[in-house]
Amino acid sequence: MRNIGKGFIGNILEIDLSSQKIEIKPINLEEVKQYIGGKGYATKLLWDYMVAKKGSRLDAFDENNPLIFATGPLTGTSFPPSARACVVSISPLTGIYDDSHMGGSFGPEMKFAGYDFIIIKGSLEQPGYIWICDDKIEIRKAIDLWGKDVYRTDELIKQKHNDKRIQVASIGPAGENLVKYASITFSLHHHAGRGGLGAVMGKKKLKAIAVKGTGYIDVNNYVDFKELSMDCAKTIEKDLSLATMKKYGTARSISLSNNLYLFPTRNYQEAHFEHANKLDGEKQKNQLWVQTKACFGCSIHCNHMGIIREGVYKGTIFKGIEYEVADLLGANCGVGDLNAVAYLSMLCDKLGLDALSTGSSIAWAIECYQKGILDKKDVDNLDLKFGNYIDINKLIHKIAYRQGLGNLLAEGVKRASKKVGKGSEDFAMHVKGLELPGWGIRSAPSMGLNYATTDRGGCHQRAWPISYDLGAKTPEGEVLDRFGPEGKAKVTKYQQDVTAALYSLIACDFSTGTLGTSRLINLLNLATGWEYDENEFIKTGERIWNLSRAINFKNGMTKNDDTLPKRIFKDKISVGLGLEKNLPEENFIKMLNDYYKERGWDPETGKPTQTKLNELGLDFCEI
Amino acid sequence: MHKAILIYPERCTGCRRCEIACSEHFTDKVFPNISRIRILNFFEGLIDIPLVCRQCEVEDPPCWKVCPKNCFSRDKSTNAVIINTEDCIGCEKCVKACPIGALFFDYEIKKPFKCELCITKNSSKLPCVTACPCNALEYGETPFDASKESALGKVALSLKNKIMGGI
Repeated sequence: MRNIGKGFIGNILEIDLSSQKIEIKPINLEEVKQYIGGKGYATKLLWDYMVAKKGSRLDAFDENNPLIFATGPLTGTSFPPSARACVVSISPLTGIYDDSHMGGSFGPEMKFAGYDFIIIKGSLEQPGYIWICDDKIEIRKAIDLWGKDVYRTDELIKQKHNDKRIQVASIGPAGENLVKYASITFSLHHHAGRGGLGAVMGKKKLKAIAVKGTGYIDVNNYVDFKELSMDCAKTIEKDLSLATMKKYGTARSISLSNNLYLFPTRNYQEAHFEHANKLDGEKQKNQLWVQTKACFGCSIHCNHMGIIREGVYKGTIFKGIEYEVADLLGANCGVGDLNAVAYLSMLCDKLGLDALSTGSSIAWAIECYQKGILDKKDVDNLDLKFGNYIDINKLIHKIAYRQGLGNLLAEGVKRASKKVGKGSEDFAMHVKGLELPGWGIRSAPSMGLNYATTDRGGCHQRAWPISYDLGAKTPEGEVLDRFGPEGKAKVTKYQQDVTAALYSLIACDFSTGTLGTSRLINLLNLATGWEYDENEFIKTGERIWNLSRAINFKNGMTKNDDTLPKRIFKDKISVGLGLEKNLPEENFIKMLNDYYKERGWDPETGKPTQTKLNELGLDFCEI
Repeated sequence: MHKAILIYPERCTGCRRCEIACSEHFTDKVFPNISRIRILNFFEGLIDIPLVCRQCEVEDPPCWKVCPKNCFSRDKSTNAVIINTEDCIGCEKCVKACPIGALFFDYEIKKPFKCELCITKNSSKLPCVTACPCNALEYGETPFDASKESALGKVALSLKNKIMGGI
């Protein structure tokens, strides 16, 4: 198989499930360069599919909706956190662009097999899975796998091929049942969780993709790349901030966030959870964790495996509870029992559900029931209340199998609240249909602006401007007023652009702060032979951001979707320091208008202007 | 007593930096399929075990014993079990004979390969041991005899039982 070196292997694998046509195409490196790779180039590939549809909207469940598995030029190289890859497609939850990222070993294995990108089109009539072993590609029957959870699916596929080193991407029952926020699970414990791309796989009747590669990954300048990559490893080894990440994973932030009133609680009715300290990393480590785990090539090893030692869920093996999950399934559902949250987290993983959207949907249902908007019959006679993890457990099963109330919640809070009405839309905590993650907004308004404007809906990973709210100096050296709107747009735009570029490498969030953008750009140049500087790198991020914006407009999004749930504007909550705050709508509008201005977008329509598109080399975009 | 790479699976995170280091040592590429050390995962991600030849101390290691062409010998300085592939006919008997599965086969050139302790005169550091961020590998003395060793699955099971502590 062709391998061009230079960070890229040089091949795109395109599989049409309907016609069973399989093609291996060379990548157009000059075009890839405009988008770096990873998220960026996958976004361009998605755009091309939409254009091929001649202007009409592309529905997530349309068999023409491509599922694009993407790696970047740094994926699988010797640079320490090199495991990252992503899936790009139209989301069934939001109806717009979605890129969902994961670690593990699947991305590197795709490249060992010879592919930088894998595009899946069409759909199968009977459940199947794709088996990729280098250039041997088969679409196989998966009748026996259908209905199995993700752990069993992984195990059975490895048994079938008698090889423990195969990397498997699979969906659980949730994806099969088209739950709108079903995840895709990679290498057992890594998920493309957000946006429901597991349901896109389910709609295609594709249970899994199993990859085994016998090839290699090479870079343009091996000697210098290796030296810089070892330098990164040393930095990671010594970094004090990463020391806590290694020890406690993302759960290190739970108590911190809670103390800063950033920890959404009981469906965002509060931002401080009285039991948060029971869920934090130190408690998890001391009470439950038994092993430390890492993604491919990574010395940060932020993952942990634990065992529940007592209570009703005794004996369960689970992957350490991440920060976001501790919030959405813990605090936001009022559950402060560590063993219970560990179990619920494992359950979502096993059934193939995004734990964030699941937690948010359940919290919304509990509030509806408490307010009398849903009655006992509507909730299947469950004893729905914050903290009742026994019935929350039952409800998670119902969601995955779309039974009773679960069938409503499987649609996500946007659709569910629209159907139920009676004011429940005001506390359906989502942006553009994507349920909000576990970072409060009223105590960090710039995060609100970020949620309202990100490419895939309410997401904390496209920018994390909270640090500027809390007093970190902006790139211009300014310190911003925490609760005010001033200066928030510029930093949000800056972070979104940088992140879009970093997600095209693909770099891991947990390393970028420590390693710094300039070192990552050097790695990119040494891997590819390109000559990116920081300006061009960030400009490329902006190009990607504008292209995904164009996709969203093409798919029916409007400026009115750049907003936040009413609760954020209306309901005051304690934000610490003896203060009670909402995010006044006028402050939000001010930030949003500033943001459009910073971006060069039309303030009336929210669309990128033609001038902006031309400036970014996106003149082919017609929105 | 002779030396080999010792493994501590309870410390292994499964990051595969040892595989990257090994393959780069031989090819200047990230190329796990030619790595002499490999990580195998057990019990839904709970346990990772590094698989690498322990250079059996016994005079006739299982791989050596079955070779029809007498390709095996000991390295004079390290005492590692090494393969002279010149006479090798690619019968794969050695690969199948190793009770822990520490010999691999290159299907392109049809020859087996294994860890031969790549210590040079200039350096006593092994790339895989140096690369491990969690001290799950060590170059040290071992009385290892693969023919008396359990298959990796059994090693994994006993480690799991130990970790679970009767839960």
